[in-house]
Amino acid sequence: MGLLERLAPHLPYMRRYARALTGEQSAGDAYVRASLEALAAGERSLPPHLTPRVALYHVFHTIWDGTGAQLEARNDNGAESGDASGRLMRIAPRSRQAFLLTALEGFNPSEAGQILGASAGEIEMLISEAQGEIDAELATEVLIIEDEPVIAADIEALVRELGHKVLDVASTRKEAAEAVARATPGLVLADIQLADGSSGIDAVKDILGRFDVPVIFITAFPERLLTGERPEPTFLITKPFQPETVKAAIGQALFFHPARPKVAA
Amino acid sequence: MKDDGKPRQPTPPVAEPTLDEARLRQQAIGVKLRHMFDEIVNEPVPQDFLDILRRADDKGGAGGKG
Repeated sequence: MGLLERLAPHLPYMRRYARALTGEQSAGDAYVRASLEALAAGERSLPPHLTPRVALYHVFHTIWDGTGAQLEARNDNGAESGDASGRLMRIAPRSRQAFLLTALEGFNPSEAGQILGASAGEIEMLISEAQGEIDAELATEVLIIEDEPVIAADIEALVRELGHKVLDVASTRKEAAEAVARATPGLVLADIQLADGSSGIDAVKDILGRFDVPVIFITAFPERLLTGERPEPTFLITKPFQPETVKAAIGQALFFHPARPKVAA
Repeated sequence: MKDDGKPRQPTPPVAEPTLDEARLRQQAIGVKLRHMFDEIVNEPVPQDFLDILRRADDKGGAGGKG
């Protein structure tokens, strides 16, 4: 089987990975092209014990690691943008590779290790490092709108575990409005049915009328959000919740929400 | 909700996530990244990429055995 037949099916994904890794399609394509040329010239070969897809990513890695990663380290790349691409670029090159290979490209840790020339243990370490960097990148101030004290305390604890600061816990629409008048949160976690009969949906609409902020509804009554009056942008988690589900939703909501200017601590 | 009967440990301010938890949280971001990059996967691969490989095949098996 020739190179074309073996590698062509994997090129769309290779380009996606290269784009995510380098922050630009043109730069990503340049590294993919260089990898293919090195293969064609016989300067690199596909390790025969690897599947074609893993082997292709491995060759790309040897090319990018010797040039792109080095350039990036020297130039700091000016990656100041507050969108998801900018956030990716602020993860250190090697942990970014481990993160993208597993979470974006769907390789298992052993395949990611074959691609990067690392042991499974190193990949696990890199994944943990990436998470630490992502958590630090996303750290913000959170407003919790929740009238049940026990649930509010659980939510507060998991928000703090992620490295965020809890600005306030509001139990009514009025308290929520007062809280955002005092300080601007970077994330809102909201129940729907509040203590005085007021609605978390209305509280969130008040807030979104003033500024843009990611919102996650945590509710035992999800159907109330499915009636078409759900404000955007919002995420929905159903009670009773698994803490790790809430944490994953918080990370997802923050990673893809444009960063707000950093507030001095 | 998450009452498993075990006594609650005091939570450190920033807990180190377990590997499973880190992977779960990264998968949640990965799903949306895939969506964000859908367009790249669906567009045609640049013709010159395919030409490089085709030329190598025509020259005869450079870059690894099939």
